[in-house]
Amino acid sequence: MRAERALVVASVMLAFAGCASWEEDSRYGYPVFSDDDVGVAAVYMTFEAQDAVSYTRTQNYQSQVLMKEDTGSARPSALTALMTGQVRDLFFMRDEEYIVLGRHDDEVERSDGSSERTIWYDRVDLDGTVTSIAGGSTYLSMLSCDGGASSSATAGPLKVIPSPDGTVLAQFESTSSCTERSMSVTFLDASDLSVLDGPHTIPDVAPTWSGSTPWWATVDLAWSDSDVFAAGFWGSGMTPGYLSASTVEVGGIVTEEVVLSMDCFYPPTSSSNTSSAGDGVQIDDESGEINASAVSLVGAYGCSE
Amino acid sequence: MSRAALWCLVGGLATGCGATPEPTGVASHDLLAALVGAWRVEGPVRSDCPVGLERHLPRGETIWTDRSGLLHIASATGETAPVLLEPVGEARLSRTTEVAVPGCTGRETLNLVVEQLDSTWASGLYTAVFSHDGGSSCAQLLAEAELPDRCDSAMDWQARRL
Repeated sequence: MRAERALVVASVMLAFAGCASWEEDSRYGYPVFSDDDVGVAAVYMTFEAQDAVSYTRTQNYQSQVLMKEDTGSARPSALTALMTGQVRDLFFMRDEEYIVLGRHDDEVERSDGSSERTIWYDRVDLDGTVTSIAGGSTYLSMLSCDGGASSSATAGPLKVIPSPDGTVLAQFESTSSCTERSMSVTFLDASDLSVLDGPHTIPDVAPTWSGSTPWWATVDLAWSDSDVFAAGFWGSGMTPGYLSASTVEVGGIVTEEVVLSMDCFYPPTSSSNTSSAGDGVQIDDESGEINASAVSLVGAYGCSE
Repeated sequence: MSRAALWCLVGGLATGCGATPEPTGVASHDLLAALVGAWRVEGPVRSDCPVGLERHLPRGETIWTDRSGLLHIASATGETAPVLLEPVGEARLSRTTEVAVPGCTGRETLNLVVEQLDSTWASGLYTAVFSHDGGSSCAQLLAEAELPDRCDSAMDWQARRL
């Protein structure tokens, strides 16, 4: 019997030998147009990969910002060293001469079934200088209210999005628990990261309940105008194609239950992987070559109405 | 040793060590065409699977593409493993993968049910079930490794088109 089991185990090991080890790997990704469509930023990532034949698990990312001030095919140049974490946001505000990089590390499950991770947001000047905007601490990324049997992603919990003209940064933060959620936005001067205005509390909508478990509404974030930051709530019973939103103007006017077209929320600002003309940008995973006239699956920044 | 091997077996099942599904050609191509695009996907996940075996659709910004009649769902950041599914009806996509070793055949079944789909929103239920053929070798080895005979993950997914 013991010999039979050993044979089974040996066969399993043989069949799945490739599944067992973590290997160093790398790729290019996350290309975006600059806000004026003239340049491209992207990220070079190193990570550990575990091959499971048709699927690759990854962990322990490091990310390096790349940039070029044209849209030709040549690989963008490295602007920074490798930094801990995987890219979560990248905005190239060429008019104001900086890039915003958001990163996070691997998710870690807590004893209560929720998960957390460290998040960082940096401003990268076009000479490669990196300045921390926010983060560097641990944020709740998945909330569980039943000991881990179920969980859902938390809003944010930290995001930094430049205004369409690049002069202001909206720093969104949220905290979520099984009894309450709070959200706020602070407006920063993009040039020196000083606080222009805020923090302002963003009015929330009531959660839906599954027994005693609250499901907080998914939140979309965007600049809906040059000086208006919006948080749109899913599932708010709106006409198809629209979201109910809370908006905050730079200067502090907060408005609830604003009806906004869904296309206002993606892309969230003027730098994204879709140009103002509607072209998409792609980067070759292995070579880093750029294609700035790809078909885009999403629309350009701005509200259709 | 056996525990590591079994994790690898189940992990391999979970992530597709096995044959890539072939489209049957009889399923709804309309469903595939309607799902292709960029979506933000969110939703609560329920699971009784051990850590590392819980499965869900890629969350956040995702790209849904038609790959020779199969639906490929990938995270825009590449963080979560992509999913490959075959349309099997007007509102369902599925994939079953079996991996057999002497005395033990394991099975992973993925199902994506589309309950609502229009030009801006989609929602439904995504499930992943791990099980085995009931063979004594499977049961014994899984017990030794403190792994369940079966575990289920389910995600009540919502998506809005980007």
